[in-house]
Amino acid sequence: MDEDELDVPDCINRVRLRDEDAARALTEHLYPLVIKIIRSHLPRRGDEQDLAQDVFLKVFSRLDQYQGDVPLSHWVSRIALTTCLDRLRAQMRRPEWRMADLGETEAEILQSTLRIENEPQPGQALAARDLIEKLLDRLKPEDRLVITLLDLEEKSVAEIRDLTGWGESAVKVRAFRARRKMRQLIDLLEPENRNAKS
Amino acid sequence: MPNPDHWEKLSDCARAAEDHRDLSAPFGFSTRVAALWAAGARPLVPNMWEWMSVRSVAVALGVMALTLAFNSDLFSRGFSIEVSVIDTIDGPIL
Repeated sequence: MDEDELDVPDCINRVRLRDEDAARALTEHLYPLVIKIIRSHLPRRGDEQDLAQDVFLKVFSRLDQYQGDVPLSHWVSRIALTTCLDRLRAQMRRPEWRMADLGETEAEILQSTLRIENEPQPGQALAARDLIEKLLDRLKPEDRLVITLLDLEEKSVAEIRDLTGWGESAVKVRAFRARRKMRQLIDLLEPENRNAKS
Repeated sequence: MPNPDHWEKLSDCARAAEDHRDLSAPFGFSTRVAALWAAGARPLVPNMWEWMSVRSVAVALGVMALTLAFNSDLFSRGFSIEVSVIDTIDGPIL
């Protein structure tokens, strides 16, 4: 269904009255928003449809609590984010990996990053994203969420506060800790530093 | 000392990555979600009658097992009813 054609408040009311067609229409309407959030935070997991389904079932089960004081997209985003966070906590694994485990393009982007005089090329963006995903796997789920929102999606601290429900200082502390950890991880991948530490 | 520019450089570059994957819901997804929602989530507290009926079957099976155990001699005799002469004298069927 076209987003412009959907009367969201009316659709919400019909869903509250257990109208299955309205639930279908609302799912179609919100799906791009939800799947974008899931792909941003759990990009390498293969079960994005399952996770999206969980998000929508939560949305519908809590729809009576939605007061309309914030846009529906904000409210749904928050549910999607907390669902991603729960999944990250449940699947938390921090694999150890080394420079040798990186793909060719990931190693190239890392070398570009490590050398002050080199700037990563725009064509290396996907490799940079893949490398970052590997680095993010080594962070705590909450820190990972904050740094993704702040540095990759360029959201403000206030926006992250609204999305997560955490206080601003908690967001800043997590961001500081996550950035420091990321810098350390990148630094550790530098061959000279690895040799020095081993 | 880690170089503070490393993360910034890497994240700047990664932000340029475009995700070209389709954002529309796959065929049948919304129907499945709506059907699951309409069917209703399984209640956290199981239905009392359902719970009791399962327990009742378990209790009935337990009683049956005990009965069989305590009356095994009866079954070992193959349900053969031996009516002795004394039984007949002591309790004649009138």
